[in-house]
Amino acid sequence: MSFKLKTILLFLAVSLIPYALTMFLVGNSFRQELYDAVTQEMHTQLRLSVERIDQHLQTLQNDMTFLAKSDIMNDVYTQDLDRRISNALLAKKTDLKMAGDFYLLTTAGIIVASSDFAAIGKTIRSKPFVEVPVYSTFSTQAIGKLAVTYPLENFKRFFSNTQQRHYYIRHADGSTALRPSLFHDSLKVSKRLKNAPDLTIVLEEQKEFAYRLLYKYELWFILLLIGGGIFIALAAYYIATHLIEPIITLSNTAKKITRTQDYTQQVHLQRDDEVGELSHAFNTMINGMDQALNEIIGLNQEIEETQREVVFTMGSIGESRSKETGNHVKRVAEYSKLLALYYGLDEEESEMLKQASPMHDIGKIAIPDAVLNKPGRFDEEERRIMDTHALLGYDMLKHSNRTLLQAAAIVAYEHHEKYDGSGYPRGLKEEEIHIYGRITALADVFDALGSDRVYKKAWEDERIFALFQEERGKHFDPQLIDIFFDHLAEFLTIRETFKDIHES
Amino acid sequence: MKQIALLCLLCLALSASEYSVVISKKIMISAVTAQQIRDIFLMKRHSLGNQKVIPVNLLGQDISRITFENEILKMDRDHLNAYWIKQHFQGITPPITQSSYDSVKMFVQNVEGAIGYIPSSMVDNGVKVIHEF
Repeated sequence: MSFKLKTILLFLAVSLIPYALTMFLVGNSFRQELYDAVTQEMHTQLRLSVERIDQHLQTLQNDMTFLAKSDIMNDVYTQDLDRRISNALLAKKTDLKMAGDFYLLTTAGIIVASSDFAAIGKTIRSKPFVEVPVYSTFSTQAIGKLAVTYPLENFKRFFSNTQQRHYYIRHADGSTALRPSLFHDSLKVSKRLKNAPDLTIVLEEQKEFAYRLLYKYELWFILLLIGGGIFIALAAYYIATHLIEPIITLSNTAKKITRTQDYTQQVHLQRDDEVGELSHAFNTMINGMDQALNEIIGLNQEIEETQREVVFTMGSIGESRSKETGNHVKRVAEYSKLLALYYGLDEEESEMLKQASPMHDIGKIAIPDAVLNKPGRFDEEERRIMDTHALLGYDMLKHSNRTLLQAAAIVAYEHHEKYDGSGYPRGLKEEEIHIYGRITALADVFDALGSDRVYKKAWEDERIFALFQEERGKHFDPQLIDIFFDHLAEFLTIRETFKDIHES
Repeated sequence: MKQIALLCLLCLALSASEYSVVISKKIMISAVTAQQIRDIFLMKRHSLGNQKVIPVNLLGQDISRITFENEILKMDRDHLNAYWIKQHFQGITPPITQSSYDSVKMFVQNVEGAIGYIPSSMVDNGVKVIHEF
């Protein structure tokens, strides 16, 4: 996950989470407030209704108590022969405009009088709603009881029901009565009747209706919420990208420098804060690196230069001792490189061979002058001494770890080996001879034959070419001979360029 | 003369025994004076000996009640009203009432100590006559 993405996500989280939390709390409290308001109003309505019902029930009870104490109750003794009690009960029932009936029961439970005349002489069937004892005017013992059946339909006239809001009755056991319809989801408030503790009046309101305001604007609330969320997210995104912009610039520049290896590039951030300091430090660092790198490159070049010069000088020393002209070394070097390139070595290795080949005769500095500069032909002993120069040169150079000197050691050791194995000092043949040795052998002989020496005159070109053709596969690597003849013009050009200047 | 006297007595008896004051058979009292009945119905006495008594009046302007008031209570309606208004302030209310002879009779039969008056022709085994007028 990139720094940019991380920062943006962090900002989004930091801004959106509190927003969502706040909105949730605000929404919830709004809902709670609405709920409180609605239920408060329902409670008020319910309380008024329940009070009315309670009042009515109280009236009923009071009337019954009054009746139970009246004179006519003495008619219990005459089995209400004159229907005085029954008529009074019927009058009361009519007066109260109620459903249900009054019954006057003897202590044995037989109905003596009732507003329902047909029930007289029977026993009461349903459970009475209210019962009060009946006394005669001359006895302290209850002579019976006055009961009333009060069907719940009586409550209906106290219920002002609407489509969305209605009352119903809940019994103590949880069963309900007079419930007009079932709402899918509803708010309920309930209150127990004081004068009928078994009954609880419940006022129920359809939730959709109660929360109609909330539902009406719900879509707008949600849209507003989402809009706010998007706005905050955008702001967070913008701030985050703006904040990390300099960091991204720095990072991009660093990446670019790594890719192009161009240490002259700078970051352009003009700021007064830490990021500005960072970019300044970055620039200083890159600048320093650039300078250090240049210095290293310069030093390297100098080292290589010195190496080359040392090698060249060393080669020259060998040559100068044998009174061979200095240009011989240069020509051999050029020939060697040319041959190496055409042979298939790469540019770097060819260049190295060019620098190493001048040292092929370095061993000669250890050859006594008497032998080295003896005019005329060597005798057996002198030849043997002279031939040691290859091994001597190799011994001088072999201890170095530097590839250039290693190459020079090989060149010195093997430049007198012959392709057919008749050379010295080890008599190697063909591929056993290192390619450096084979190349330098050819280059050295070509130049030696073509130059004047103390002991001979320079050969004619034809004679040299004839010899080369003859020595192809014998002295020389046939492949190199082919290369030589294929590119003869280039070799001759080199010879012309570095021609010896004769003082004579 | 004796016959005439007997006849007169019979006539008197016939005319006098038009109504009977009755009481529950269970009660041991056999005869009560008119004065005692008067006191009971005016709520001046509430017992006969050890027996608590409950007077039962007939409701309304029945002829028997008028006769009873004239013969036994010896007060006419105005006097009686004045009397009960006076008593009312002392917390004494008139006797309970029944609206028919049948119910008076039944009440007397069923309530121990209840005293009521019914036509003599209605007297049967259920009640005991303690006075006639």
